[in-house]
Amino acid sequence: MERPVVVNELGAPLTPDANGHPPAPHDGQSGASTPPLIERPVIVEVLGPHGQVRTRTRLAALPAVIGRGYDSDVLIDDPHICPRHAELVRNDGGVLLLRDLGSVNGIGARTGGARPTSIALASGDRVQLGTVSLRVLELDHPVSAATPLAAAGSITSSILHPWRALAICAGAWLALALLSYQASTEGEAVVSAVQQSVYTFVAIAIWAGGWGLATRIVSHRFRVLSHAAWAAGLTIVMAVIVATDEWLDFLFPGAGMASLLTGMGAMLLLPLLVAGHLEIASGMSRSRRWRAAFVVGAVAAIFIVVISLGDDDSRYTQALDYSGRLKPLPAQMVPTVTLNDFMESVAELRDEVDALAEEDAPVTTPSDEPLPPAEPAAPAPDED
Amino acid sequence: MHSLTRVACVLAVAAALGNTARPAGAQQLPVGTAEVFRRHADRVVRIQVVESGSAAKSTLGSGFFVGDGLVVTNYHVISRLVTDSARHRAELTDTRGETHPVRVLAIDVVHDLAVVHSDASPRSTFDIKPVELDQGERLYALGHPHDLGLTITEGTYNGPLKYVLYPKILFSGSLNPGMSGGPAIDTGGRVVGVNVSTAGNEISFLVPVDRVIALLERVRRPETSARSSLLAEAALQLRAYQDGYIARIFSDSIKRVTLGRFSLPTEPAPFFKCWADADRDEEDPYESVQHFCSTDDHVFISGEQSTGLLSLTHELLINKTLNPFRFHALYSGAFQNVLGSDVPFADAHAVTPYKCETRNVRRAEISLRAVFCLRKYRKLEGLYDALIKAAVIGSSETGLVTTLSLSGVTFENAHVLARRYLEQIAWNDQ
Repeated sequence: MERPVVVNELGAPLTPDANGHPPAPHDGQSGASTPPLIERPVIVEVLGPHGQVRTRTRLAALPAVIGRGYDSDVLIDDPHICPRHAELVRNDGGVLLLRDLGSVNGIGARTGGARPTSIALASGDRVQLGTVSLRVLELDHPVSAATPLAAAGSITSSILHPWRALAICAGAWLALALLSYQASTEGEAVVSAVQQSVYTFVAIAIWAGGWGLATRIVSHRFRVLSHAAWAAGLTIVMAVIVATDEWLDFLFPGAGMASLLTGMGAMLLLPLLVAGHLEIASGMSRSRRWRAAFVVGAVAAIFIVVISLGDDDSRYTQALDYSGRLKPLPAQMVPTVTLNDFMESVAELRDEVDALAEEDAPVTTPSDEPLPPAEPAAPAPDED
Repeated sequence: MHSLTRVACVLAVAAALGNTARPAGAQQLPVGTAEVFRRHADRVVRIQVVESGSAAKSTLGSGFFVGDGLVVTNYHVISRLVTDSARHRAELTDTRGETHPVRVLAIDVVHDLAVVHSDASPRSTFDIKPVELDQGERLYALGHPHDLGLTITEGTYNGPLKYVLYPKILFSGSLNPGMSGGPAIDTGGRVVGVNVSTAGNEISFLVPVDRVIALLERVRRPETSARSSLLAEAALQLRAYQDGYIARIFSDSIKRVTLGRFSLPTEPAPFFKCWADADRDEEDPYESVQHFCSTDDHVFISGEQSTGLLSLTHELLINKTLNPFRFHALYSGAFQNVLGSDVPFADAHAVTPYKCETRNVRRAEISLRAVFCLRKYRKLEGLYDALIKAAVIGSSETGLVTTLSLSGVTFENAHVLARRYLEQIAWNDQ
């Protein structure tokens, strides 16, 4: 963003202004002796604190008054703005100028130095007024090309529609219930499967509700259903990843891939989850959404690493970590090794635990220290 | 099934067991007992291990003089001097109330014996010689139950236990915590064994006197030199003892049991005891049959670790109404379930975490999901705990999960036994 040029600091104001600066000797717009050569309309946007466009006004003729007063040409509803706050004019050179009309809070960023009385603006420049910003745009200001509807940039566009969102939620619920049913081994499987899926969905609903409230703060809608559909959809994707992981681990236990896919899936889906919710919630730009999403992903990753570092493995001497998932598949379709091969790979275990015993020394206790000479535990050969 | 309780002298244990003990003095003793006590009482001592920091006793047991300043007791009475020597010291108190510091000379960790030395000068000592007795002969055990003072209790000699991994004499009398290491003598005052453990209700165990003789011989042999440490000695003894019995496990003449479509090994050696159970609930959509074999006795190393137990478990699952996915959810659960009895207790100071290797193995027309898990003893060189699990894959009608748990074995022995064991899993051809 280019900095607006503060004209009066340059020492050579192009036009006279309300504060009594002398007009240039051969030129004077407010004098109305020479009207502007060509009247060019201009667009004024009022931007919120996060850059979102609040209002957009097309001004057919300048000068135009900007302020909180109802007779303003550009009306800004902000307590820090004066009824007649500033004036937008165009000088003879065609340059747009924003002039302070003696406002309380002034124009431009508060730098602590001298308050600018007049700021020159090029098309697309932003200037601060109170807590909002103004952006002026000439009619020929370039605009970006239209985004195609099916673009990948809109990962959530399809679930913004309430009926589609509802359909996705219902589908996800059914899938979760089915998964719970297949995982249950009790007689009352259907009841417990429905219960399980209800618990999961209550959790999803609470999550979506939180995002809904956040959405309501930045826009005028809750979009809870879309948030729920997004979270439920990704839950199902995660379930599919976990299931794939289990099958791979069942078929190829020696490949050492146990939980690899699940871990990678979780690391990818978490930023995706956040990015999707942000897209549903706000008009945040794509790059900012992804930046936020990856910050969340990175924080989660750091959190997981810290937690796992805190987990002192050596304390769990009773825990056995092996992939014991069994899957319904005919024996001839399962890749196998011979008993000899298995016993060979087992031999490597010995080196592993020997290394553990060496490097991963137990927490030092006094018993691990050398014996003090005063109390020999071993018998001296010459006694008795 | 019962688990043996060491006549442990750890005070916490003593306190916990206090109420269940039947006081030996409550019964009317035959005339001879008083005489036996009068003759031999001053040969028996109280041994306590003191934690240096707190100066409070952490273990209490008994022992007896055998001449040359030597005192015989249980290894588990003085184990802290071996495993945590810097923080502990031991002392004995004789019947005159004199206290002398003691020093460990030799241990036999497999048979739970130790020989310690002190400067005490007893009026008389036990002469240790081989003894032959008939079943039913009267025995007297002496010791300090619950630190209540020197006590004599009567019982009956019921001979050596048959089919056990670690030899013991069955003494039908009450041994209680604190009596560990005390002598069990016949009416003539000959030492028959050393009080060691109890299974409650007058079922008690003695270490046979021939193990004491062997240990004393080692102590008195001039060439017996000190090893680098008693811990290294303990590890060596445990490794050497295995060489005697590992070859007898899963030998060719092994017994087999038929579970569903499977023919499986059972009672891998005569010193295993086997049990079976079944869950057949009408409402459950499956049935489960369990078969379990164990050596039932362990070797005491320290309070932070138990070792020496071998066990074998088969669990057959029969599907009644579950679809293949649900049956496999059940089957996975059974395969992932590790019983407490499969994993010997051990503290992080004593062992490394487990590391496991998993493969799908095909052998003799049978496909198995096989797992081998291993952890190493940190303080006892060359010893490991191993857990071998296998599940038959490919069927949604029946499943079989089988587990072999080996504790305190060398890696070579674990490897050999795992192979022999997996080779024994077969279809039932009949």
